[in-house]
Amino acid sequence: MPSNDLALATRDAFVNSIEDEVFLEIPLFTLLLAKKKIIWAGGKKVTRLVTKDEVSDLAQTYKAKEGLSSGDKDILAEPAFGWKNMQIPIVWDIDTYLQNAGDSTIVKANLIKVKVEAAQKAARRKLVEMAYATTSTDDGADFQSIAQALDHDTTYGTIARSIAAGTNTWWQGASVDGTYTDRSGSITASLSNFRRCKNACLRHVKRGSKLYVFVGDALYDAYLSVAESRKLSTDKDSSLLVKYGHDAVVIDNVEFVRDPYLTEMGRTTDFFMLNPDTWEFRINPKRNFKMTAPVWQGDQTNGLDEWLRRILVSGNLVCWKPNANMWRSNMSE
Amino acid sequence: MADSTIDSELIALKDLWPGTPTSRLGTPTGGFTGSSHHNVPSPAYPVGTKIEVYNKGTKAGQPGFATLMYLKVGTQNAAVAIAAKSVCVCDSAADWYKVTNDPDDCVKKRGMPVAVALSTMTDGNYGWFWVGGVCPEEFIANLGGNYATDGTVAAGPICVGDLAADAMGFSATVDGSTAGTTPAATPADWACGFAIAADAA
Repeated sequence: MPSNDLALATRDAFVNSIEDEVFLEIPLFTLLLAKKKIIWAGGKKVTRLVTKDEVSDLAQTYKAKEGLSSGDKDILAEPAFGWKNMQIPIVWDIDTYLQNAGDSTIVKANLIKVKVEAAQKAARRKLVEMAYATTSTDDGADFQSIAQALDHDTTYGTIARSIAAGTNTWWQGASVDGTYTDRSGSITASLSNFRRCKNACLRHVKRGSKLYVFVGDALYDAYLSVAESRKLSTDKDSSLLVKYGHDAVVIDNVEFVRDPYLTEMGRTTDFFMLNPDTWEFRINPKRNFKMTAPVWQGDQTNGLDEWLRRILVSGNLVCWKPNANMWRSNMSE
Repeated sequence: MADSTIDSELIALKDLWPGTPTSRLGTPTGGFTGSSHHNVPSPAYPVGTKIEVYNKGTKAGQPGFATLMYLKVGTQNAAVAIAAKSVCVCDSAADWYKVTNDPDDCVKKRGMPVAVALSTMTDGNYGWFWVGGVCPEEFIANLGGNYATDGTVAAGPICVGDLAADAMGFSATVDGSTAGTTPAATPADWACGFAIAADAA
């Protein structure tokens, strides 16, 4: 029979660290950070010059008595992207302030610190959410997405794209069959289809450009099987230990990245082939994950006895070369 | 007439309740149906507190402002319990802030301010109700969808009416309590909202 005195005299054994039940890696952000593609800069808009055409059709072959032609072409364009703003509020009220004060005999965790850390992680998570959003048009508020850059026949960076009208085909996301209407077409996760995607992305870039594929679990495992089935085992070890399996996939020097966000959001048929050298994550230095000081909200009549701080981010995710990247939204195993 | 339905995006409510939304309150912790303040026996906010939010309309519902109010459930309909989208009006002849979904035991239906429940609630508990503006579906997903009507709703003013089912829903503003008659010459019924299209009947 359990003793009542024991229950009254003994505390629970409290484990003094927080287990994060909702932790999700965000490999897209990590990759851009690793490639130093996060740019801290100001300016009216985010713009740069891109060459959109070449002048080989000005070349003329001629015979001795033919006149020499002349002419010029517009070969530059200037895509422009606005600044987008995001904030995450962090609020704690008088109860949190008073009751969460003290040492470890009273307080299991510093709740304010936990809230601040959660908000910082949420800021990065929200940026990835916006990067993977599927709306193809710029709503003016959200950071622009990979879909907006790579979807066919939409306006991106104020430059309109239309395959029917033959407008700015150079600015379209890569297309396997060259029709620029196949983004949502059904495609299976096979080696040959992967190579078609890869070839389409590498067509207009310098040799040696590195590509990455971002997919959810289902497509990652499908390509893992494709690679495994082709890798002959040369294991001459005669020991009784069986070791099998792989935790990374690189096919034709293209690295596959398993993005848990895509799996969590049910985006099991999305296939993103990205060339990180063509992407920039621009952050304005005045709002680079800036955390404001805690401001007490009770100074005016009807104000509340609570504190508010905000994490502020302004910037945009831009692609300067959509035709070196591909998005297929309907790939199945 | 037989009961019908109207989609949440086709109606907007007129807030006839006392008080104005306080700009200093953000969305409650855990959303409007958060367990620390919604459907709780002791009020977490002063009764009558209103919060105004903006439904962006990019994910669900129409874009526009919506008002939610902190009220108390009196005694709900024993046969048809309060659930998300239940239309409620004042319950008590003593306390203006108690509401019920029981058409047979309420203060009055037509001409009353309306409070739409966000979820199931226990008698005597406090919680948030949608009382004005567009349907805030992006904040409370269960508010989206069809709302019960008595089959008379056309584009124009609406009020709370008695349904053939043992519940309250929306009705075109009419004189008296007979559904289907033309609107009264004297505006005895205050509209509690308006519809931009007719119901499905």
